[in-house]
Amino acid sequence: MATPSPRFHLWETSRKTKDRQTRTVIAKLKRDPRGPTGAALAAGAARGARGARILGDDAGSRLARILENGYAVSIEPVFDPSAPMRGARGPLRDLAAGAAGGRAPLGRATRSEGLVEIRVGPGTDPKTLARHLAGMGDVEYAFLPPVRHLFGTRTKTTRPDPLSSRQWAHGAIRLGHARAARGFNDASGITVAVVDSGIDTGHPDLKAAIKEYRNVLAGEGDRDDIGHGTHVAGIIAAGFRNGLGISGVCAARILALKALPHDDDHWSAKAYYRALRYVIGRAHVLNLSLGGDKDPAEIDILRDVIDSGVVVVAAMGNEYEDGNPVEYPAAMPTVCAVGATDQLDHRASFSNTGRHIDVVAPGVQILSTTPTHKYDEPERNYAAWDGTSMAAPHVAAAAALVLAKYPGSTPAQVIARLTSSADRVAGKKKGDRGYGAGRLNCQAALA
Amino acid sequence: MDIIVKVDTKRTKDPVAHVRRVLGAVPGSRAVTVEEVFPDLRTGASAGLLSVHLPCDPGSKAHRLSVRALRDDEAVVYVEGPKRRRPL
Repeated sequence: MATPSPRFHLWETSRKTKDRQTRTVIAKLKRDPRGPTGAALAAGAARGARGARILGDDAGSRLARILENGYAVSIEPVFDPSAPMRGARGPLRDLAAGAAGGRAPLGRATRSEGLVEIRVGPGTDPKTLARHLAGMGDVEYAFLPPVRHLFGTRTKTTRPDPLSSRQWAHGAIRLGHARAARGFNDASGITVAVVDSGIDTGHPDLKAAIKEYRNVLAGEGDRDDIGHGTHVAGIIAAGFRNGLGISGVCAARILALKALPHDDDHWSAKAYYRALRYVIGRAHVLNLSLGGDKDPAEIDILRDVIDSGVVVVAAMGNEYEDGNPVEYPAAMPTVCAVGATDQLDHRASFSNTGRHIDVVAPGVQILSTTPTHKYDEPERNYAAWDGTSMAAPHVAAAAALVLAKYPGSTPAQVIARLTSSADRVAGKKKGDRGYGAGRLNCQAALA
Repeated sequence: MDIIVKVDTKRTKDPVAHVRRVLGAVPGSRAVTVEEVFPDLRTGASAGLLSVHLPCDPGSKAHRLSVRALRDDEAVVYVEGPKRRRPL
């Protein structure tokens, strides 16, 4: 079969060239004991048609034409002839001899002699050029060098959180599955406000997550002497795979506002209201692991907060066995009211029930951060606590994940997504007001 | 003791002065401190919220009369005692 016209052939197929294709062709020139060696041909070709003609060889001339016609940018011997390996002979020796002024290097020949690297010119299909070269009588073979990949994997710069295996809640809400899903966004661009008893800004597992901390209480220090706010914040955003303690549900930034005083005398409704309204324009989600009697001013302020686009999540309350009172702000219709479940997906015995409950989340033996300094409880750094206060931040963090994945969602849309995707759990019976739509399922909420 | 009063900002342009006027008419009421929770906020549901400090004893007649006067005023939307919030 006749060799096709190189010019036409190459031009015709050039449109098939892919950007990521290698732009180099490796060819091995045959050894010819009677004529110039392959490397000499290559060297001649590399100098152009004139050099090839000087060598007086057709093959060199053909290689040179490839260069001259622009199909190749350069043709170079693969092995540097000026530094020949010991024992080189044949084409390499010739090439090296030429380069070294006629002094033949010593040593043995290798199978790699005669290899040339041809850099393919723009508009030329490397595959076609390789095929063309392979068809030349003086070329033993020509091919596109396969790309070699590194089989080693880069050492991970993150370290597992040593206490994460004790965070049973993450399994219950399908957090691992959610994280493993394609397109998972850890909500690092979302801010979750925590209006609570403060936060330990020096906690190593939390400090990176704190965007801002404000103490709105006059007459009380900045420290979280109750530990409650520190625990809640850790559930939301303790560092993930930072090699410390636990991990939060998401990587959102925390806007911590201290409004719950350690000393009852320091309670200030005015300060609390100002803390609530402070989140407008500063946070996307507001977690309220607190409660009490109905307060119309709080309702008015939260109405403004929700109208501004903030998702408000509140705890149902822990007094089921003490009369099951209706707690506000959870009972406010546009607030996402969260009850607590245990490891068996049953409503926690203390978790309040009511028509207004939206969803339940783990709230028993929830391991999270506690102050590193002295505070009301004995366990520093980390502790497992019970409460709907612990359930609410799971949902607040899930809301942050939903907002990260579906930016621009309204608070009602976020809550609808969280409730519509919740799992109908074993303990829930028809007409049961202890579970709302069911137990939070992050994987389904983000699907 | 502090009470929270909401004044309809459509009915009065100066809620603080309005509440002072209402309480000033109550017999036996002493000097009160009236402060806007969100100063200069005139729109939204949280506009017109005032924190009012009544120096009289919460069980006293003056306190009762003050609260009643505020509740009876047409520009006042509601009067609430402090609703403490606790961690759950």
